[in-house]
Amino acid sequence: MARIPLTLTCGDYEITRLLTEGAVTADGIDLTVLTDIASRDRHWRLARNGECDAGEFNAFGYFMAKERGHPFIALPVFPHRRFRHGFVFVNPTKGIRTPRDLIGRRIGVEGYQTAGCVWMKGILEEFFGVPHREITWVLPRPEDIPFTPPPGLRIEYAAGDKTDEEMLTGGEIDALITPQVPAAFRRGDKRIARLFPDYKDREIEYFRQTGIFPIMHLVVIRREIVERHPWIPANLARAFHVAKSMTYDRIRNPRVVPLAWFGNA
Amino acid sequence: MGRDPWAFGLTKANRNTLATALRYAREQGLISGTPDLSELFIDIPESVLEGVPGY
Repeated sequence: MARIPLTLTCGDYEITRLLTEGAVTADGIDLTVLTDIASRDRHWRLARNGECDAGEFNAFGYFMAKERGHPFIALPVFPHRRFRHGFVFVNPTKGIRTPRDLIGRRIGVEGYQTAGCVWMKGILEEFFGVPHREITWVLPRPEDIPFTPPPGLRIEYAAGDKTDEEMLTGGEIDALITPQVPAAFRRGDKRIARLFPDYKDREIEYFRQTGIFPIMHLVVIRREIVERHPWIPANLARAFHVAKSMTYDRIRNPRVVPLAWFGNA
Repeated sequence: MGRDPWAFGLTKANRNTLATALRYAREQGLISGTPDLSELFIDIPESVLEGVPGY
């Protein structure tokens, strides 16, 4: 009996790798997995172009797409989660010492709807008294899901070709909330510093207080596929689960992980 | 963080996390409504995830 062909986009994560590389299969499904699409492109190619049957997708982009009637439904499979206190960067010459010093400033974000940025805007507002409406948000380009900002929200699109970290080190923005650790920071550029140098302690405290390990991405699938093959969601979710569980099982043996003291952290 | 920090399914912890995500989405003007999680997700019963090595 033929298996049902399904195309899936998914990033490169240890918990999904056994599935995306084919060591784990999904019962009844013949998966074609596209892993080689950059995260940023993966979302708009799914959202605007509908290029795949299923894929990893920004949770917030999905909430927006759902409200706007896009033909996808989500599985509660979360390939990408991350704490985000460590992803707020400032230009140290701008005199930002506490979170409330961000009020009234210009902050770069990869996107107003980028998952890590939405979480951190929310956390800054809820736990540190930084209202998102008292910031000017500077974006590099239009959003994945077209979006009309509510009245009073200050959004600007950056002029020119500078990257967000070049704008930060050049002083055109005061701070940056970004999904990645900026290359300039990794190089030790003194013009870029973390707002929370003790971010690990902050993130542990946040988890203790809220029980939240922030969800960045989920998996969406075309609704018409689920209507035609109602068994596919459970079988696909189980395959993701098997891949993750086998990875947990494997890394319980610290011998296979190339990090000293792994497992003692 | 427990035995399965990357839990799938609409577990209690995931519902709490998603409720906060939806609240932030609404507060920041990304969405106007408050959808129920059952409208957003096809839930996967716990039984589907059982009997897997390592889990």
